[in-house]
Amino acid sequence: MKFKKLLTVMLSAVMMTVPAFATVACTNGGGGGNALDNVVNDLEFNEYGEPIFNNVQLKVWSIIGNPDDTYFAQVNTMFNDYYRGNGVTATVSPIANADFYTQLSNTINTDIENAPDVVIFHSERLPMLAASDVILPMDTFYSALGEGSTFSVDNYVKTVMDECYYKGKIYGVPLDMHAGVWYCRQDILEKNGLEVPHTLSEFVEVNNELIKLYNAGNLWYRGLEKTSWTKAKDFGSEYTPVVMSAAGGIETGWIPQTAVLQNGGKLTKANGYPDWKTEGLQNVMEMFRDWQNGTGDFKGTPYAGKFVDPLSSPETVWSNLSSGKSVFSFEGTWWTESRLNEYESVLLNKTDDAGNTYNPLTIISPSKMFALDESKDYASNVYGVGHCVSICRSVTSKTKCVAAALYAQFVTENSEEYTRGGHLPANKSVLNSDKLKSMSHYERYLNKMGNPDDFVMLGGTEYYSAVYECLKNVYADVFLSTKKTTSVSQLINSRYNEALNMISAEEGL
Amino acid sequence: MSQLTTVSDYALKRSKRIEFFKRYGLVILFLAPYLVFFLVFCIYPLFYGIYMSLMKYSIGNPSLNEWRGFQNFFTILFDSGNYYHDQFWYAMGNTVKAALILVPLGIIVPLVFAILVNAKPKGYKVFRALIYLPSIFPVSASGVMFAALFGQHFGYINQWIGENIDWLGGSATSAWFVIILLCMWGGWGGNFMILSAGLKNIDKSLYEAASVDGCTGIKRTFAVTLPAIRHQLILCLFTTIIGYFGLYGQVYVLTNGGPSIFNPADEKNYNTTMTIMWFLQNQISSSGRLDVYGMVSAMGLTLGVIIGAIAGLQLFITRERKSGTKISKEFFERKKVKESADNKSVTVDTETSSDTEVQNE
Amino acid sequence: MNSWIKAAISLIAAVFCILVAIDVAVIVLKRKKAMPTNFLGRYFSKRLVQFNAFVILVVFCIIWLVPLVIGLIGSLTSRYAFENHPGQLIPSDGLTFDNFKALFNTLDTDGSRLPVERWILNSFVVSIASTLLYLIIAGLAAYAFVFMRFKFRNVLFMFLIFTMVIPGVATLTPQMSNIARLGIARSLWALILPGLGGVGGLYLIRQFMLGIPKDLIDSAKMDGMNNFQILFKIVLPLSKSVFFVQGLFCFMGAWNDLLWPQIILGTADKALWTLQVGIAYISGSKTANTIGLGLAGAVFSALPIIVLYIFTQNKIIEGVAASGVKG
Repeated sequence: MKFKKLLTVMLSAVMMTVPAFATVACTNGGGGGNALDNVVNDLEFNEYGEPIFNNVQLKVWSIIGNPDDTYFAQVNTMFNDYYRGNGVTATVSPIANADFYTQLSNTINTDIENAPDVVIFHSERLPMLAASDVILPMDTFYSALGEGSTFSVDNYVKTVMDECYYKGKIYGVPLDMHAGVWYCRQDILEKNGLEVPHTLSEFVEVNNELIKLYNAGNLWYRGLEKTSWTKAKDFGSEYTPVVMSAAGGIETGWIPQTAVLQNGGKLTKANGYPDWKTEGLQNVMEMFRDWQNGTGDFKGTPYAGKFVDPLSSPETVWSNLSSGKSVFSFEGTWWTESRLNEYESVLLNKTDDAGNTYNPLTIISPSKMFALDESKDYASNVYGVGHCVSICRSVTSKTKCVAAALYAQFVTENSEEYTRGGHLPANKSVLNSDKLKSMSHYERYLNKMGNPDDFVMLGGTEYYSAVYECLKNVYADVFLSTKKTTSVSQLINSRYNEALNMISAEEGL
Repeated sequence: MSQLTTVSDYALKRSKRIEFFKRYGLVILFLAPYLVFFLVFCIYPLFYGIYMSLMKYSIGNPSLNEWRGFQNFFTILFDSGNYYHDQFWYAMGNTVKAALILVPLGIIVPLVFAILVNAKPKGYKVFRALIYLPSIFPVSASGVMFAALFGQHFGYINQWIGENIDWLGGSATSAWFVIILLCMWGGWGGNFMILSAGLKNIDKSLYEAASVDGCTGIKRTFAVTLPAIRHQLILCLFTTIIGYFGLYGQVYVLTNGGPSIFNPADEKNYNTTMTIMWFLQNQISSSGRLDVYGMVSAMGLTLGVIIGAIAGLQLFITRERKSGTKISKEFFERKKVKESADNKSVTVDTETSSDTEVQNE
Repeated sequence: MNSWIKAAISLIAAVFCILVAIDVAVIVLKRKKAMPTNFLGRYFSKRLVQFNAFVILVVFCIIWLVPLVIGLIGSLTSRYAFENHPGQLIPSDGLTFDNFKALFNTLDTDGSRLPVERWILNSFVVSIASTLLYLIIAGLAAYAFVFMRFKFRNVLFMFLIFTMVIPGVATLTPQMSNIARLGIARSLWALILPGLGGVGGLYLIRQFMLGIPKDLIDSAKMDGMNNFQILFKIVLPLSKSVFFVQGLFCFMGAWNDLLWPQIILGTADKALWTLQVGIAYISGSKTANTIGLGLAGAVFSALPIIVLYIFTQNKIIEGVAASGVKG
């Protein structure tokens, strides 16, 4: 290796940098500025004051994944049936991809031909996209319709609508809200003479009873594979009525958020900084840890050390629940329909010796399930997330923007079919419509998901991952075997400081 | 007069041009197709990456980009306490530690097995094929297999040994153990092949010469065998270092950075298997920020410079030195003299000619 | 501890004990014979070394193949067996092709079946096209770097080598805008073309060509052959094996690639996806998240590569061997 050569290589590299900078500096640009300025006003009205659409085709990217995307496709078909005559059609491509937001931004900036016109995504990411002008403010497009506009923010559940504002402007129309729920083996509880719990204290009590029954050899159970009732003898490992999925699952991320809200805390400050370092969070997390480790209040109780078999794979969760080795599992609501079908088709008609049948599976709203003081108003809060519909910066025609705004309004106002996937509609008229209430899934699981007014969202922050991920990690940390000796307050403090540290680094970029 | 000079000038220029094309036209013809793609798909992105690294670069809206000069690099290198600085160097430390284990393992173990195969036991071709077989799988596929093996509840290993060990999440040591195992399983085939090829091509007469001098066994390995395959060793070392500094896929499929630990000294949490590439990819895909791209580019380039420096240092240390290779070199010279003395025609003796070729370079 | 894993471990231990015993026996028996004076060589004859190597390699290869066997068996295991009887080598409810059927029968949102055949076709198109194109242009360039003289030849080559150390993440974003500007962001060209600028393969081919004796080329030049004739009549036939190897590396690389196709085509029409992207989509789906399906996807997507390897492994190995000759 000759080092003179090396030097030459380095030098020539540096020399080549200069012209390269010149070229890239010229090629920079490609849209931007105040995104609204790029929208050309080509909107025209017919004699009835309705906007004229001439074969407007909307490309929709949706983050709604399998299985709910099928239900959303039905809503989209309704839109096409309704608006095709007026000259607007929409095609949805579900993009169930972890890189949704990066790919969206990249496509808009580098490949505008293929960029979408409308995006459906999680509303907690809205400030990030709005701050980068990836999506457009929508107020103007509704007001452009003048008298013809029927859009009103009052038609939407307030907390969900609030998530769709950025710097005082509407950037999206909320489609739904959803939360994690406890899946509960109702049949096992009832067969053993217990009731479905609806508060934290009932929940603890029911688990206690289950473990007592198991220890005494009196616990009845059945499963999808072994459908007749038997008394549990030895499940092989420690009996834990609760199973929970691995740290990566977003379901587990929703528990600490709900715990903060149900104990009087808030998730974010007005400036978007985290506000979740509360006593309530600490108390709940300490309770879980005591339960898990058999310390504190749980010392000496039968259920000590038997809270969950935590942070295990999704397979464990479902197999333990389906075999009857567990009774509770905290999961997302999109599973509900397929799971209920699965359990009911096998177990619903199976009788026990006395000829009784039992409903095998039900869901429990997280409302009050993480509240230490159930009498408080805020105890019924539920941490919710939601999807919203927005218009991309790639749209430069005002006519198309208006069409997109109408699309956003239409799909949110006609989302009854979509709610089958376990999402509460954000639109009040849908929420209260007879159509929804007469649908079979409404009684079956949708109305068990919680009171829509109890849903509280993250609160609009540009520092989504600092606020959300760090809090999610608190919950994972509590059960992590590598952090057994670390106190809960240390964990919360360190994660909180980490969030602040991340934010200050992001601001200093 | 003036016209005359012009004509002669023209003639000169023309002949020069013709000469140039005669001389370089074909070179350009041969090189151009490759260089075009190289410039477009390697050099341009590289320089654009350098440009990005000097900015606060947002992929959401380029008009929000702001020129930062060397601030990103300054943050990475000196701004202790800054999130990016701390994470970068922690991840770098993890990567270096992993490389310190993986690089020697990734050379020595294949070498041992190459020596075993080179002893030509029965069916050695089958062994060779089987040892290389795992290397044809993509990490995404082999990662799934290892996850199935080392899973806590349904993993085959735990079921077989009847334990309930959380291999991937229980402790940093066990997680790294599985990652290193996967790296070795799916990644050493190339080194094994190259080294066994080198062993195969060692001139038998070299051994004869050595044994005449009373040099056999272990001593022979160090005095003859290793020097004779030094080119292969250097090549393996170079590619292995570059490869393991970019360790990403194995971590991504198995642990995704975890398990996390709490350090009481600075009251911070650390992802114990976070490698530098994992950190960079994670910043891009799940940091939830659209404007980290300048910083990510800067970190990528810093990493590139570090890898380049280490690889360069390695090449410098292992450069040709008289002492280390004296025996084999002298032998080859002797052999060459002998050959030419025998007035043999130059046969296609790839091994010998290639070896001398390198020394000439 | 599982009884047969105990048996397996004791078997391995026994094999090694017997091996050591045989070694000791042979050494003791043969001791009186005159041997070359050195530590290992004194005791270990060539045949004893071969015998030891054979036993060690047999044991090692069996252990080495465990993950592959598990991958295969796991992909043929039903979800029921996985959840209720994990760890069985032969599942209690028998082997099943359900996981593979599930791969082929996953439905899209509009109720149609996902176009798996199309993905396979795409993967073949991309892999074959990128392989052939790369071999042509890199072969030409390697020839120029080895057999043609021009200024800055080595400097240029060194520069190429040094670009290898820059990690891909630093150049990801510009690469994407590059693709878009060329207007190929929604076509398979986006997967084929970027690989053509790769340095690794060129390096390998050049290293091999360096091993071709210069005298051969010089004498051909004296015979009045031009560069094309030399390339096609002398260099190509001599370096067949390295082209073969690099071709296979290219093919495997293109076939196994997941990250880049996912970034480029993840948001495009599903009919444009490659097999790896599609498999990742199916096995990552929320409703079908099982170990068996993941393993089935891994096995299925690696199938063409395995077949290719089985038929060509000797050539690959000889080729790698040959190319490794030069440092």
